Amino acid sequence: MSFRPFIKPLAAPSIVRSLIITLSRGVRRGCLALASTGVAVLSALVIWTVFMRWVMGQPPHWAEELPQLLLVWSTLLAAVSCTRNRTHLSAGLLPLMMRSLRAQRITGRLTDVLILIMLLMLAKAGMELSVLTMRQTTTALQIPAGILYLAVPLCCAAMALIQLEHLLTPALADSDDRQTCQGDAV
Amino acid sequence: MTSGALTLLGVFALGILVDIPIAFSLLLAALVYLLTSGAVPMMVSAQQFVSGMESFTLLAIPLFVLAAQLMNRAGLTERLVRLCMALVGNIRGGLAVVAVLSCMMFGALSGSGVADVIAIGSMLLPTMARNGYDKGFSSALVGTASSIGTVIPPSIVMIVYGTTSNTSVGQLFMGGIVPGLMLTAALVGVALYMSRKHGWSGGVAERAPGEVRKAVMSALPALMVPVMIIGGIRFGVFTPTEAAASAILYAIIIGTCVYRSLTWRSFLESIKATAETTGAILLIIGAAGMFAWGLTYEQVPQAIAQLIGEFTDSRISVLLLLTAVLLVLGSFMESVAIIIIVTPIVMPLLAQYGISPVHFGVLLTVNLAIGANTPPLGIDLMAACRIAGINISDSMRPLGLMLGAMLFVLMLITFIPELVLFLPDLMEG
Repeated sequence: MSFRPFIKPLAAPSIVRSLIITLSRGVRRGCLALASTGVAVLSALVIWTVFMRWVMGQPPHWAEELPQLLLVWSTLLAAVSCTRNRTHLSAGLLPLMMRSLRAQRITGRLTDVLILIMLLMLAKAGMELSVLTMRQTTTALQIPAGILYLAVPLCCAAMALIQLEHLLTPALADSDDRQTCQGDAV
Repeated sequence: MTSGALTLLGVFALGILVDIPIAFSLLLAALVYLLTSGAVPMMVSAQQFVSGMESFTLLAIPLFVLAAQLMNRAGLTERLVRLCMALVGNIRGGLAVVAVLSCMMFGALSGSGVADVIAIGSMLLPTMARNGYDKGFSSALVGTASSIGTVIPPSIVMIVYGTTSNTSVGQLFMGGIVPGLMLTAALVGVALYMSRKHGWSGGVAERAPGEVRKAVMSALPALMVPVMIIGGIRFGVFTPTEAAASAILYAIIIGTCVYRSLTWRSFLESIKATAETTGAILLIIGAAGMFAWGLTYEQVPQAIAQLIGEFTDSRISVLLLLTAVLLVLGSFMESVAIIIIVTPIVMPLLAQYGISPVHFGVLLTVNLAIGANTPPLGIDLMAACRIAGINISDSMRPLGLMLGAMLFVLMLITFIPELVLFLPDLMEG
């Protein structure tokens, strides 16, 4: 069955559009792969910490700091994938309040624009914080503290790119992607 | 209330209403607040965002999610269901009892309501339908029983509350045991009553000799998981995060060496699913860090505590008021988001009225378990109905009785705090 969107895609040259779509898909795959690796490594690190504490009697000096660093990075990288799949948790109240599909789609486009602006603002704030803290070092690992905060601008920029893709490809966003995922794990 | 507080709450509420994801609604509200108030530089937003996620206790969330994923793929869930079938499958209404007990046991592995619905519901709902059970009843039962997973330790909801309120997760886990068992007993009672009234069968005609022993032996490794987690925390061997890590190691060993059902492919799929779930949950927690910072800066918790203080000075009235608010919120919002927003607001109230944060934490969890089954957005009920292939409205009649039983337990633990605090006090003692 063909899908005919009510709202026209934003006017962008097709080559730019396809470039953004390709880039966005690549970014999503890369981020999910990195986030999965991060989850595997942080799990292994905590298991290793338990082993060191109970068998060797001496937990490693990075026991808390390194897994936490990986947790922040993995979360934000995985959030990029959730943005692409539209699986971030949401209330799903809009269809209950608005019957008209057209009104829902217009609201959806407007919220996509809002989210894009917000992500760009957060990316800028994160970049400033990261640059400011690059000269400070963390307590246990003695690495620049800015590395922790760098996850914010990079991942927010990636999410912004995906939001842009959503705006350029409303058919994709409306048909297979626009789902509300409410508490998959909770 | 100040204009800053109104901006924060107003933008957030608007975001939720127009279906902006919860994490983004929280971020948007905090950014608009920072822009309009000019209270601190924008950089603070990024710092608070990261601080919200940077916690050793929160590491337990991806670890428990991964442990549950691995156990499910290793076949521990099927063995638990088989055990319950062997134990009570031959009595009238036994299949309904199996559903409740399986959800409770799987809840002790996964710490999550929806995970329970998917794991147990996919297995049992078709079987119940084949045995003549009404689909509306089965869905309501699996939905409500799965919510017990958030009360029985380990519980992701409790980890989030413990981190947000600075309460011992170990004590919360211990506090959830008795209410979790009470909820199970209440739902078993409803299941038996309804099944006998309608003449629904047990699913197993006759128990084969030695079947129970065989089923117990087969499910023993799965049954050891809650023992290991709760026992480890109770006796101070593990922190909750370390217990979760140990559960992963245990699941890998059992899945590869004992059951030999965990493949490299299923391991990778588990990791990928865990990463996505972690991204969805922890992003809300990070965003809520920013939002909660704004609420605290505007002294909203103190204002609400003062307002309620003028209204009543009774501890029970405050708990009942909070219960009413949480039940309403639970019908509209997702558990993690409710905890993140409500906890900083109610903490001054708890201190003012001498309410134990552990007692309130468990009440909150039970409230949210009920909220996860109340329309319009009862997520556990929605998931169960989706698996059964029916509309939510079809499950409304039987659901009333189940929610009534859960509310009865909620009232009991509200009025008798010792039911919750007995085990945590024992742990302290």
